[in-house]
Amino acid sequence: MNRINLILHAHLPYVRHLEYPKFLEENWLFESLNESYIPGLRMLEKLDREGVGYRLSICFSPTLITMLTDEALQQRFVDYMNLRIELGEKEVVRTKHEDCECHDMAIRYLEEAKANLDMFESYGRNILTGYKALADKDRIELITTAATHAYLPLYKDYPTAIKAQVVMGLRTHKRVFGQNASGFWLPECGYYPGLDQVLSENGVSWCQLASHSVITSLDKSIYGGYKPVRLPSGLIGFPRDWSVTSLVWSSVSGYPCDGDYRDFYRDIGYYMPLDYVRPYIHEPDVRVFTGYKYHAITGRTEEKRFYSPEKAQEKVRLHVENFLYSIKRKGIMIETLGIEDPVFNLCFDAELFGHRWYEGISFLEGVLREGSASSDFQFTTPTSVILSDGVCDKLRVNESSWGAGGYSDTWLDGSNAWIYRHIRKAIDRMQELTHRFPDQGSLKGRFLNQASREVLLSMASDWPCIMHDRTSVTYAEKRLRNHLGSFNVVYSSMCRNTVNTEWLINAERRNQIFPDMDYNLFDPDKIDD
Amino acid sequence: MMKTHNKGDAMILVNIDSLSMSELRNIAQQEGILNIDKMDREEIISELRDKYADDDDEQNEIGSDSNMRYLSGITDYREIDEYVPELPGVEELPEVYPDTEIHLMLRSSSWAYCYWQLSQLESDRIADACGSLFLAVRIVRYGAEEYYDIPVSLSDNEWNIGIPYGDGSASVSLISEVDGERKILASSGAIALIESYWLEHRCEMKESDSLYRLYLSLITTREGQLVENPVVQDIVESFREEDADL
Repeated sequence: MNRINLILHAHLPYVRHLEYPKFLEENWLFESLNESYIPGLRMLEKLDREGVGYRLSICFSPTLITMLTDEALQQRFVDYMNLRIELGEKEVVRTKHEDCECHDMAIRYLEEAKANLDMFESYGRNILTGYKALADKDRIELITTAATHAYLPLYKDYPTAIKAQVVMGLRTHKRVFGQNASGFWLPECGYYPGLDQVLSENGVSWCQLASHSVITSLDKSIYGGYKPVRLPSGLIGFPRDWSVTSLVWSSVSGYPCDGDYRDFYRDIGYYMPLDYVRPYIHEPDVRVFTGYKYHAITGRTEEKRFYSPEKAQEKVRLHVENFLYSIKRKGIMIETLGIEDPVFNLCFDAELFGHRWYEGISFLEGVLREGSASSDFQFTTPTSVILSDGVCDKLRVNESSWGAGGYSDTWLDGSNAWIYRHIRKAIDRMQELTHRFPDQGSLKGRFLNQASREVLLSMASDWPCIMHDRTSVTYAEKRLRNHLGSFNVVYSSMCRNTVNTEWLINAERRNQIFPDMDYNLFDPDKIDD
Repeated sequence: MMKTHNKGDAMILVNIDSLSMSELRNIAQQEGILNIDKMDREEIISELRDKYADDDDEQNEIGSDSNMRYLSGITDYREIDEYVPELPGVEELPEVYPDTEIHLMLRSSSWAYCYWQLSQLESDRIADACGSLFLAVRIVRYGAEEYYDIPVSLSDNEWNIGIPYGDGSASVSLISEVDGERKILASSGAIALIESYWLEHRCEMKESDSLYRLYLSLITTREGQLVENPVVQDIVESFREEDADL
């Protein structure tokens, strides 16, 4: 029997700019909601209703949870969807007369948008309640991650900041889902020796690990990553199976690269006349994705053929078959090496399915459906694996991540190294403030809590990652300077023993995250409490 | 070798010289190469090689591979960066902080990143006396200590430092030298070097063939590509050498 731990990680950086009528980077949330989180929930509910015996784990990051439960952002998502539906209605009419090959897809997109908005409203605009219901039925294990998805190895010299990231992650999860999380997704698979101790002390039972952490560990692994790993603190690590996940994840040969799948980039927002798309793109006349895409990937050519859902569905079927066959074949090989019931830990970003890979939700459905129907596979969760048998490798694992090269180069290179002298200085100063102003209530306490939020938000792994990938660099830099600048406002005010009340009220309004923040988490003297 | 597409458009490698003229023409057409009819075999092959070399260069630029969208988490809005509006609360960050300090961070198994700052007072003292500044790197490996210096200028504030594998640590101090007198201005904490059981126990590799296969199974793609990691590559290389010695 091959045990499959499918672990999906849903995360987006905290983006909320109500000071603007529309803000482009908020679309990260809206696109993911419409294309991944809502369709994903619909698919899982459908499988549950049909009695398919699936199980999987999902991590909703605290920043994402905060945005998904934010009333203002929920309203802005509804506005976004209404515009998308309005464009869909125009597209259905247009494709009756021109680009007729696109007509069926226009209808499909419109129907999907309407159904997604209906579903969103049916959950009182909070889809997490749907996921929570599936967790209550033991279909999914909900887990958490670091408060703002900080890449933790680069902060290991600052135990207070690590603790604050872990505690606020766990606290946010419990506040929203009503239960403690047993699992903790290490942001970017970033582990360092000693992190397991912090997680264990805070009640976490397991985390995932980078695939190369087994062969490179300080101890001899017997199970090669196909059984859980007991780390020095007793925390259980689940090494990611790079071999199987790369069937999907590879940017060269992964299933989503197939020419029959829908192309992500060929979007009417970029090629239809401006007058037509103007209400649905960014001001002033900045072309962006609208979600209406009618072409297949085709190949490395500008000449894209029209998308055929039938052909794509056939490819999904073949890829599901190939995926399960690959696991089964590996399972046979592993058993010949003396390991029974191997555990395959398959970790993916949730947004891959649906948003970046349009057919990804169908693929997941196929894998869960076909895999559950076969006696060769058992879908499980890390907590179930821990409870079901105690077989583990006992390993000391090196610092590692799933970034390029396997260490910290992605988040610490020529493009982003400059940020750490500022962020780490802010942590130093936050620690200093906790010493100088311990256990403050009322206004000063709020001021210091706001400073802690700004420090945590500056630590997000998203900012250095964006700088490294050279994508939305201007925005990432502005955000970073925003949080560090805000922290410096508090620091300089507190050094004068004053509180800038007007600034505080605006800052609290702007970043409505971690309402249960306690700045004393940054007190180095309380690190062993 | 060149890249081309199979029916599923997944990239595969084929020997370009083994293709027939009609296959070459067909691929060249798909790749948008003009005037194919007027070209002979060698010219088409040359055009295709140029084309794929260009494509490889593009792919090597991070973010330019269209399939990278599966790997990068969020939609790329880079082309409209200039439209990112001002955010409230943004203040200029200080260029320097008043304290003299130095920090060392582990980047990878082979590199550490070091950054430092000098107080204005310290900086002026060294500059006024025409003194010099250097980094003193200390590596402790298997109980043995090794030191070396890296001269830096007063305007430098960061450096990448090469580090070895093994049981040990690395640290760095910021040192000034004025009138022949050295003074430690600041010292970093120590970072642990990356060490691995298999790099320390190569002699066991010969008896561990099945374990080796198991390890490879987790970290190798169906195309035979190993996970990108220098320590893994060293271990795998050692296993292969031991295997070849049998």
